[in-house]
Formats: sequence, structure tokens, C-alpha cells
Amino acid sequence: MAKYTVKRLLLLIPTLLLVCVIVFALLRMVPGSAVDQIMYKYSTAGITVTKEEVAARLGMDKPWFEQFGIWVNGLLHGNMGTSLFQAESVGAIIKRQLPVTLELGVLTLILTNLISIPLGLYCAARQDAISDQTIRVISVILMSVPVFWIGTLVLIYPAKWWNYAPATMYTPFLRDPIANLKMFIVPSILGAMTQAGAQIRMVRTMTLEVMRQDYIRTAWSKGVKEKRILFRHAFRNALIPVITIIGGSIAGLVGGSVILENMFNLPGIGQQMVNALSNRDYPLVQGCVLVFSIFVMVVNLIVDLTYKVIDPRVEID
Amino acid sequence: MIDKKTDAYSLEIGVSDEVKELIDERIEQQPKVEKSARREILRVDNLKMYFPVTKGLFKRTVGYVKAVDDVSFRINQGETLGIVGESGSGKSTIGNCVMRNYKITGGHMMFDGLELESQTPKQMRSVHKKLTMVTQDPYASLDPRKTVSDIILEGPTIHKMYSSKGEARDIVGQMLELVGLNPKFAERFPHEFSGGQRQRISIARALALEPSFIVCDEIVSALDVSIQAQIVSLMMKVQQELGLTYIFIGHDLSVVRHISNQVAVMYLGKIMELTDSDELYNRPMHPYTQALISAAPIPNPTADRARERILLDGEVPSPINPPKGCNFCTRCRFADERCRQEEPEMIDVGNHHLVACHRVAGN
Amino acid sequence: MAKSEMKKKPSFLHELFKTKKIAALGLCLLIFFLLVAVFADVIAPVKAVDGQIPTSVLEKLQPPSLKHPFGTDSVGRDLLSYMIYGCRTSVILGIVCTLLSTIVSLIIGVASAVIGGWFDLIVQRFVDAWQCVPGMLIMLIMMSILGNGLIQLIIVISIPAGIGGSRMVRSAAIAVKDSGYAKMSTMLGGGQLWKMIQHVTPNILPMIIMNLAGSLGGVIMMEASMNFLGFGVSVNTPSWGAMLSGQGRSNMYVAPWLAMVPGIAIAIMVFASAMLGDGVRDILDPRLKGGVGSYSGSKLKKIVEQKKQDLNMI
Repeated sequence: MAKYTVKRLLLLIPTLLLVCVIVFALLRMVPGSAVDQIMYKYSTAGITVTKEEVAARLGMDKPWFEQFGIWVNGLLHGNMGTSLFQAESVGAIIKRQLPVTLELGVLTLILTNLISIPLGLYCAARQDAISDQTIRVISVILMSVPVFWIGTLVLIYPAKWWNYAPATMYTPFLRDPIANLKMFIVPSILGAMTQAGAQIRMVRTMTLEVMRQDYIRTAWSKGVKEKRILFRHAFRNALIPVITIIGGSIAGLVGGSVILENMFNLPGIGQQMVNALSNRDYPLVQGCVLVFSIFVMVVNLIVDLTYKVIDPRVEID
Repeated sequence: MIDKKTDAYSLEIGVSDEVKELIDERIEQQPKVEKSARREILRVDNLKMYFPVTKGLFKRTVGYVKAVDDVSFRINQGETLGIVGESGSGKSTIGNCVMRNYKITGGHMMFDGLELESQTPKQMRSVHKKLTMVTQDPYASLDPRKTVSDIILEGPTIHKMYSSKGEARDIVGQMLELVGLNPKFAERFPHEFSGGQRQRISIARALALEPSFIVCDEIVSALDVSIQAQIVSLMMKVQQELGLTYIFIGHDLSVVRHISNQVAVMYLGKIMELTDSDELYNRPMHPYTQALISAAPIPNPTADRARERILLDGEVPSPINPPKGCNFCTRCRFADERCRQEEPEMIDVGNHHLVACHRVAGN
Repeated sequence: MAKSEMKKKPSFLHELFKTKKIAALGLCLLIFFLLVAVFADVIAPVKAVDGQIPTSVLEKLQPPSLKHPFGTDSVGRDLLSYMIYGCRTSVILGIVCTLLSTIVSLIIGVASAVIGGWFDLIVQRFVDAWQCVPGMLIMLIMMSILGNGLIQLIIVISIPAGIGGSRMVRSAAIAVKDSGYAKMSTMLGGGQLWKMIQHVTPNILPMIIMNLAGSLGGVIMMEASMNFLGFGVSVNTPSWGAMLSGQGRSNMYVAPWLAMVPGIAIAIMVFASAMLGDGVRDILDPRLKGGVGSYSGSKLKKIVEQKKQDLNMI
């Protein structure tokens, strides 16, 4: 297990390096564009700058490999650069806002799995029965409804009809846990609904595949009771692939959290990134994307390690 | 979907009466064609196939598996060469080399006047119209998404052998009938068939090319014994009807002997003994062949108990590190110092009987 | 069993309409949207001029009425007409993005599987890393650089989706490439292209189709989400997502229909494509057919009863 963990961690290094390359390249794919965008932004703010000044400020006057080297070197020393429009380092901004995003992400993840795993297993056990079909249709409806539309309805109609409004002022968890949870519960339920819609169907399919295995057939032909087959044989083995689904859903969940943070005014990294994007504050954008990517990588690592603990057959490829 | 029941085990070698009749028929027919009149269709000289063994992150080559080492044989048109041996003896590798599935390490292969090893992949495509293969696993070798009709028509479609749907249907019908399947099965999918039936479909697919040569790579090994007999008899029947040439690879000497004109016994990548099948069975010369034949059970308890058994000690040595001298010397009961030092040459002891053994050569 | 043996294999559509009613409904809805998109100029009560619905200051924010079945927006455009032309945008986006991303996936995945070796290793490391960067963020950055517009949106949605999907295509293609029947096709004289078209593609097709239908809905959803975050097709192009997150949200109190109509339309389109995708997969993937699990409970009892009766008959 220790050897596996070490190997897995070593594999993270090239991936992380490539992530850096992708994040770095994204902003430079269209040469000069970022500089032009920033100049436009400055000019609308009434500040006149020359192209060279902006390029120098961004470090874009140097050749790209040197820029990359400087950036990565900075990252290794814990320095993600400085925001163009906020008088703060990118690291400080992200450090301040990371807990909000993490709390929303973890809450959504927990809720998603609390909804999707039991329902998915139930659907598989009752394949094609009325209950299965109903749950499947509902899950697709959950997937089909744009989350920001429901979110807007939740923000407006309860307020209109019952004078209830979800909190939109951020309270740190340590200051007032209840107010904090009240604030997070609505967005995480909304996020979980969309995710769970997709995940119920995946859990169902995975379980159905397990239920076609020979050992399940053997159990049936031995005359084992249905309940025992489902719980002792099918569900246990189906949970293994389900764990990989959790890993796969993280990237989507992050995308959703960007929308939710913006809608419910949660001061997380997602909201920060969208603001930074509209400000063309590219160093800050780079930092935010990098943090999100590392978050996805870490969750995937945890998922892989859990997988290894549960299923001893897994070998590193 | 159960194959027709066969009254198997009626012969000492465990094939059906049907097969026995067919064998008898063929033995009767054989003298009609002069041996010298038969045309040589495949000739393999000094075939070598070494697979590199790699190690570590940078795939260093640390040695070679000598899967096939210096093997020569020739086959006349309309005849069958059987190749027997334990698993790992390189018998399937020979088949795959002839099919050009591997890039061979050395040697020459002449098929019907063509030098096989120098054909480009594109040229090989037309060679494969005449030279094709039936493989061991009847479950993996049929595309699950194609109907039986599509599967059989794969070869004819590649080589544009028909011009209308009607012709295509005729080919499928003929082929299914030829391999003893109901032509109504044409629109079914492979998963609806049993192992034996699938192997028949595989054979039909190969036959639809109208080939002259088929490499049968352990085509009965995955099947039940009674069905093995059916498939062997089918192969013999179509050989008679279509004048085909086979390489028949198997590990069961009694099965291989009954379809083959010649049999090659392989051990650790080399041919130990190569001769006519009856000659091999009646007068085995190589100690390994003798051990193999003595190991085949006789379906008569008294006779079975009475026969002499030659037990082989130990394991097959690793093909990465074969013993010096004769490959079989580690397990041979007659092995002496010469066997451990000097590699035996293949010699003809007369009557087309080739053996690679110092002991035989010495006498 | 005896009867079904006599039958020829049922056509795909027949099976879809017979056994997968909801999926068939999804197909019908998608065809309906397609027809609306194609004949937008014919059916829209207010015709577009140069791709834009005429505005009318006198008729702004009108509630649904006979004249304007879905009401009007804050610049007095007929919402029904806007929705009909917006449907065209959605259909174009959906079809083009889905096809483009599938082609990207196929090229990367199949090339990676076939060429193998170092090429495969490098491509896969890159795809791994790409997967770690949340797609939504990549799209936002790309949009902010490329600017708003239909073609930009198509590129921004298709390429990340295509790269992400290539992994599944690759692993599926490798399994098929190494299978007995694919190797056998070479020994029948088939070339690499034959193998790809006849064996690899048909055998990874169910997975790709599953992707197709799923990503169709995903594309519509993406467009709406991007609009919410301030990126999308250009302001002048009618789009459901733009109506929903722009005027719909800002006029939620006074004109709820402006958010309701596009919201429901998006939901229906995504729902239809997801259901169709499910049904198609169930039919095309034999692994999900039959199996012991499907005989649980009452179904099992029914089968046992049937077998008993059959035995009594003899």
C-alpha cells in the first residue's frame, strides 16, 4: 500500500507539470490577445498605458519559455504572482477564499452521494419496474433543468410568496456555524441535485453490470434469497466502480460551483475567477484555475487510494 | 442449441464412426495419387522466431525467447501437416509466422511460389485470400455485432468476390450447408450459438475465401471431446471436397494423427520428429514422441493397465534459457554426455522419417 | 423463443418505439425541435430581419396573449418568434458541437490506440492533465480570449469535450483492436482501414452514440451556463440561454414568462436528448440485456410459472 501511494504520488508530478503547461498555454494561445484585452480594460477605466508597459507588467515581453520558467519557479516558492487590479498577491486572495469553495464542494459531494448511491442501487435491484422508471425519469429531469434557473426561482419566489430568502451575506463557519450552514445548504442542495441526476443513472448501470456476473448467477441458482444476493454480493461489488464515478464527477462539480458561487454571492474561488476574467486579471485567473485543478487531482488521488484499499486486485498501470 | 449427439469414444483414439469411415475412405483414395505427383505448396526453411525479453523502465533487451528455432518442413497440396507439442513448444508460433502475424527473425517461407517473408503488408492482403487461418477461441474470434451472414461474407467482401446481394446470399447458404449448419441461421448473432457451432462459423468464414491453404491453430482444443470429433471430421470432409491443404496444430496427438498425413512433434521451439502419421504412431523413434504416445489413454481398462508408461520427470525448461545440447536432454531417460554437449542434427532414417536424436543417429 | 427464432432481427426504430417509449418520445421531441429550426422562417409569427426579431417599444413586457402567445420582452420582441429562432441557434450548436467533439475524440482516441508507443504515452499524459483542469474553467478562459459569437462558442464547447471524450474512445478502441475477430480480419486479407471501419468503429459505436445523445443535452446546458456567466453567442443572435439568463432573470418579478419559457424549453431539449441516449444505449449494448438481475421478484415468478405450464403441456 505504501509503495502504491508513493508510485501514485510520483505519477502526480508529470501530470501537475502538464497541468501547469495547459493553464499557462491557455492564456497565450492567442498571442497578444491578453495584452490587448487588458489595454482595453485600462482604457475604459480611463488609464492610458502603452502595450509594452502591459506586456512588461504581465512578464509577457520575455520569450514564452522564460515566462513559463519564471511562473513555475514562483509556484515552487509558493508565489503565484500578483493580481493586476487588486493590491494583493494571488496566493493571499486564494488562501482567503479557498475555505468557501472547499466547504461548498465537500457539502455538495456528500449530498450528491447520499442521494445517488441508495437510489441508484434501488433502481438496479428493481430494473424496469415502475419505481425504477420513475426514479430514472426524475433523475433525468434533475439533470435537464439549468441549475441557475432553479437557483433564480429559489431566490425569487419563496421571497415573493412567503417572504423567505436564502442568506446571501457570507458568514464564516467559525463565527456562526448555523448561519454559515444556512447559507451553504441551499446552493449545495442545488448542486447536488444536478450531479445526483447524472450519478443515479451511472450507479444503476454499474450495478446492473455486476448483476450479470457469474457469481451472482451462481448465487441465484443456489437459491440464495434476493435480499442477500443484493446486499452481500451485488451492492458490495458495485460500490467499487461507483467510487470511480465520484472521482470522475469532481470536475463537473467544480464547474457547477462556479455558477453557484456567483448566484448565491459566496466569496469563493469560482466567483473570484469569473470576476478576474471580466477584469482580464490573468495572473489571478491562472492562480484560480491551478488551485481548482490541484483540487481535482487531490480528490482523484484519494479516490484511487480508497479504490486500492477496497479492491486489492487493482494494480498501477 | 446443443450440437448433435455423437457416438464418440467408439474408437481407441476417441473419434466417431463417421470419422473412422472418412479416414478409411481417404486411405483408400490415397494411393491413387502418386506422392511425387503432388505439388509442394508450402516450404519452410530454417524458420526462427525470437521474441525479445525486455526489462525495466527503458525496455532493455535482456534476452530472447526462442519460440521457434530453426524449423524446416514442406507440405504438398491437398495434404495436412499436423504439429503437436506441449503448450509453449512454439507450435502456434509457427502458424502465426506463416500467417505473417509476426516479423520473423530468420528463415525462408515459400508459399505457392511466393516468398512470404518479403511480401509487403499490402501484398499480404491478396496472399491471405489463398492462405488463411482458423483460430482456437470460438468465442473471441467472431465479431459480436455482426450476423453470421456478415461474418461469413467478410472475406468475400474484402476481395470483391461477389457482385450482387443474391450472390452473397448464395455464398452464405453454401458455406453454412458445407459446415453443417442450417442456412436459416444466417441472420443470427454469434452469441446465440454454442462453442462447436461458433467454430463451424469460423470455418465457414475461412472457407468462403475459397482458399487453398488453412492454418488450423488448435481449432478443437477449446471444445468438448465429442464436438472435437465432429469438427475434425468436418475439416476432413471439406478437405476432400475442396482439395485444401492444412497445417493442423494441436496438443492431442491422437486427434492430430487422424487428420494429418505427416506429423511434426515439437519441443521447446524445435521439431524433434517429423514423419507420416501412421509411421510416427507405429514406430516412434524420438524418446519424447515415445513418451507422448505412451501417455495417451487407451479406452480399455485391461489394456490401459498393461501398457508401458514412460513418465517424464521435471518441467519444460524456460525457452529463454534452453539447455545446451539437445533441448530434451534434461528430461530424457537416455540422455548421456553427448546429448548435453552437442545439438543433434535432423536425420532421415528412411521412409520419410526425420528424427533429431543422437541415439537414433548412432544406431 | 421458438417464435422469435423465426423472426428476422427487428429494426432499430421498431425496437425503440416498441420497448423504449420514453426514448421514442425523446426522439420525437428532438425531431420536432429540428423541424422548428429548419422551418423557423415559415412558422414564426414575427419574421426576423437580418437574423433579428423586430423590436417594438409600444409592446414591451406584454404578458402572454392571443397576439403574443408567450408575451414579449423588454424591447417588445415577440417571445414565441424569439424562441423559434433561438431553437435554430440551439439546434445548430447542438448538432455541430456534438459532431465536432466526436470527431476530435475519434481522431485522438483511435490514433492513440493504433499508433501506440511513445505517441500514445505522451498523448495520454496530456489528456490526463487536461481532465484535471475543470472544463468549465477552460471554456470560460477560451471564451474570454476569443470573444462572443456562434463559431467561437462552437469551438470552445467542442474541443474540450472532444479531448475529454478521447480517453473512452481510446480504451474501447484498444480492446477491439486486440480482439480475436479484429486480428482475424487481417488474416482474411483486410487492411487497417477495413479493420477500423468494420470492426473497431461498430464495436465502439454504442459508446459513441451514448456520448452523442448525452453531449447534445450537455451542449445546450453549456451554452446556457456560459450565458449565465456572461459569455455566449453575440448579443444579436436569438438564443434560449441568453434570454433566460439575461432578460429572464432581470425581469423575474414583472415578467416571469421571460424566464419560464426558455428555462422549460432548455429542460425539455436536454431531457429529450438524455432519454433518447439512454434508450439507444440499452438497445445497442447487449451487455445490459437480460441477465439474472432482471428476473428478480415478480418477473422471476412469472417465468417460473410459464416454464411449469410448458412442462405440463408436454
